[in-house]
Amino acid sequence: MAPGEARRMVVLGVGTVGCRLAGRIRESEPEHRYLFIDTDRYPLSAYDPSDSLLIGAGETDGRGTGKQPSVGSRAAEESEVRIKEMIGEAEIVAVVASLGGGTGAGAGPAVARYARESGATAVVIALDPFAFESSVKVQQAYQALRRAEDLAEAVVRIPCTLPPSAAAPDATVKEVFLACEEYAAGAAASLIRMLANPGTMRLDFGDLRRVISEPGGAVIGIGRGDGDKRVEAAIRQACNSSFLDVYRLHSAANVLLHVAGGETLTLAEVEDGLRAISGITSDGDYLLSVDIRPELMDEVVATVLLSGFSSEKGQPRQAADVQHDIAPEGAFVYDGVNIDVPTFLRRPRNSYSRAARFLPDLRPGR
Amino acid sequence: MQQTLPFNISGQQSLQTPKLRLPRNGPPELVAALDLGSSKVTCVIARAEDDVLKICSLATEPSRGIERGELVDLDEASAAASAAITKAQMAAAVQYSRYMVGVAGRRCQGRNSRGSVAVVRESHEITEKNVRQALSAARTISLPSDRLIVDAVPQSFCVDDSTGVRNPIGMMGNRLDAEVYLATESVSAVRNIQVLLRNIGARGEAILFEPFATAEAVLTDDEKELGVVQIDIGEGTMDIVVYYAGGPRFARVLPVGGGHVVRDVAVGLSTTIAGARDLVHNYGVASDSLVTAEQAKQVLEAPTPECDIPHTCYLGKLCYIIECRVEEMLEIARREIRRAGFEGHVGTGVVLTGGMALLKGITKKAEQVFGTSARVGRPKIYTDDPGLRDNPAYATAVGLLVYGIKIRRTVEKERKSPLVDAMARSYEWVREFF
Repeated sequence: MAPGEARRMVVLGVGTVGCRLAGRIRESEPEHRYLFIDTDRYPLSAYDPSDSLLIGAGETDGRGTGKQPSVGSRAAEESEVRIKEMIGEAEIVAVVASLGGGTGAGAGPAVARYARESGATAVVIALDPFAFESSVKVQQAYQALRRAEDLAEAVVRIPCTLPPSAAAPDATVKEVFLACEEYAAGAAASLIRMLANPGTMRLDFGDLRRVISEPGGAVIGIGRGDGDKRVEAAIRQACNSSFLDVYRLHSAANVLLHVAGGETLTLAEVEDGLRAISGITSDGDYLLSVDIRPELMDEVVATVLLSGFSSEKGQPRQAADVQHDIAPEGAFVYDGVNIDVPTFLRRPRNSYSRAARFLPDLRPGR
Repeated sequence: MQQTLPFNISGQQSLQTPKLRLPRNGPPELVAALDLGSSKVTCVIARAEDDVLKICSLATEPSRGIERGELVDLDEASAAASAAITKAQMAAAVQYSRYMVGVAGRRCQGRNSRGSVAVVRESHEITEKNVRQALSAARTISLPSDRLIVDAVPQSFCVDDSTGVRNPIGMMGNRLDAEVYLATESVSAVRNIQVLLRNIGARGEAILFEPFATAEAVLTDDEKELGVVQIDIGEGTMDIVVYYAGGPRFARVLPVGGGHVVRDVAVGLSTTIAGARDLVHNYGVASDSLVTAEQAKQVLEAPTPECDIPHTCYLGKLCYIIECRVEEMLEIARREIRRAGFEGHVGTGVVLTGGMALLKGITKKAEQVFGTSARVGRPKIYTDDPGLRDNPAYATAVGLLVYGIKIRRTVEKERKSPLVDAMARSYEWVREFF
């Protein structure tokens, strides 16, 4: 790869929501190849036929999975050869899927596997179901997430909580959904940009991969700022986008901060902004990358990636727990986790364990 | 015949050579309990003198054939129980064959139940008979055919609209409700315990729900009133009970325990199970705040399976592995309590018992996880030997005695007067069973 040249990247939208998100990402990042995979013929007709693929036609007759991940997974198996053909010789495959649906949750992880088998680095960008959806669906999403973690190189979750701008009590359903979509697309686009152009200012692909391949997955948030203190405002918004309630920043072992601004961005601004984040993370440690993108003009976009969550936070932690699928008969499975597997193998490094911190590397390799 | 005597708690007359012909049944004030644990079978014989229990002997035998609180090999378990009983009888120099036996397998379940009765007397005065009827109604629940009620503990009564009544006898009312906490167990688990006792020629006096028994040994009345979580972490199971307003409100048995800690260490440090057990016992710490940087770098030796050259490892790593597991177990307990809706009702904190309560720093960890105070529950019982008084590992065995004698006294009282409360009912029921 020549310096400065972007990696050959394919963005694969899987499922109706995944396709729509991929479509939105294409608007801001048009230089990559975008493919759309679905089991439902109708929404797929909106995309160029050469870029879209109907899977599982034999199983579903082109009418969707009825929100059953098992059907989605069989549909992917049915079309394995076609999917691999479409992926071709891509270096990185970003699979964008919503884990709440049947196709996204079922076929998404399978597609990631095919991408790996084709020699690409597979990253799953997973959209969580809304917090208010049924517990069965949330459980389904967790299972899909675990499958994705096993099959893909890395998984990044986009929490489907409302960004503060849309959280106003009088916001209409349409406004909220649009805002969520925009937020999710923005976060995903930001990540795809980082994956494709990792060479910008002190961040290489290895750094990024280390952060996002942490067991338990990574969570992403974005923020924008302009005017006075725009860098600080963008960082604060990224950290405070409502996922922070769930995944407290200081419980993450790895924090990656990406700041992108127009040509007017000054180093002093960035320094000021960084001073703000050093108070937010637990030990003031983070990876930084700065990018100049002329099209942003006076705006600054900050992206925060968090991974390696400590257990203290309860619910979200178990959501991210690594599932060991093969639980023998009689094993104690609690909240979908096989408790009989040693805890320290299932857990990422406990960021507040002093005993562990004294020593260089206690966590066994993945 | 010269016998090697097992370890003896009370230091009373028991160091004598046992008589060859012992009385068929011990003196009536004797009480004995058999705790079939996953790591050890404990048999304890005590003398009840008024309201003081004096331990005559306590014997333990490494457990075989019991995993996660359940029988998995009847012959092995029978042999271990038989050995423990023989040891205890020899140490106490008595032959006694009626045992309080505890149950707490992973299939044990607890639930609240309520029974109502109309007070039809003209004066509307509530009598003992009404109480009996209400408690009996609370026990009448529809259960699957493979489950049965092993214990029923009254929580409180309601007389018409007034709730929280402790003793309704003599009060006036139209309607009496009894709130009872029921513990149920699978029929096969109870039957297998019967078979085991029969195999070794012993008899069960009562089958008791172990979490309640442990609570009897370690909780104070104030704690039971104000709200407390009692967590017994044994080898194979973790028993959780919440007491609030004087009675048990929630009980749960989960198949996770000290065995998991040992196995984690064995896996993490590539050592043997026995080696891991020694490391946990000698160096284990459950809370990182008790480990300094220097201590964390202390090098330990862990035996390898081929046992030529032992592995070396850092104390910090050992503690990290233990801490992860202990924290997770306590976290699960907290989650269970939160899901049951009692998180706000455990004001006096956490009381830890079982072998794992001996682990250094575990109270600190419990304080961290629960955000309340925590203490180790040491069985409150009179004995000359401080080793037993202070040892939380025997809380269940001692609790079976305390709880068992309480039930026995209630039944004796009932024989004299016709009062029957729920404890006596459950006792009657178990008598039918044996």
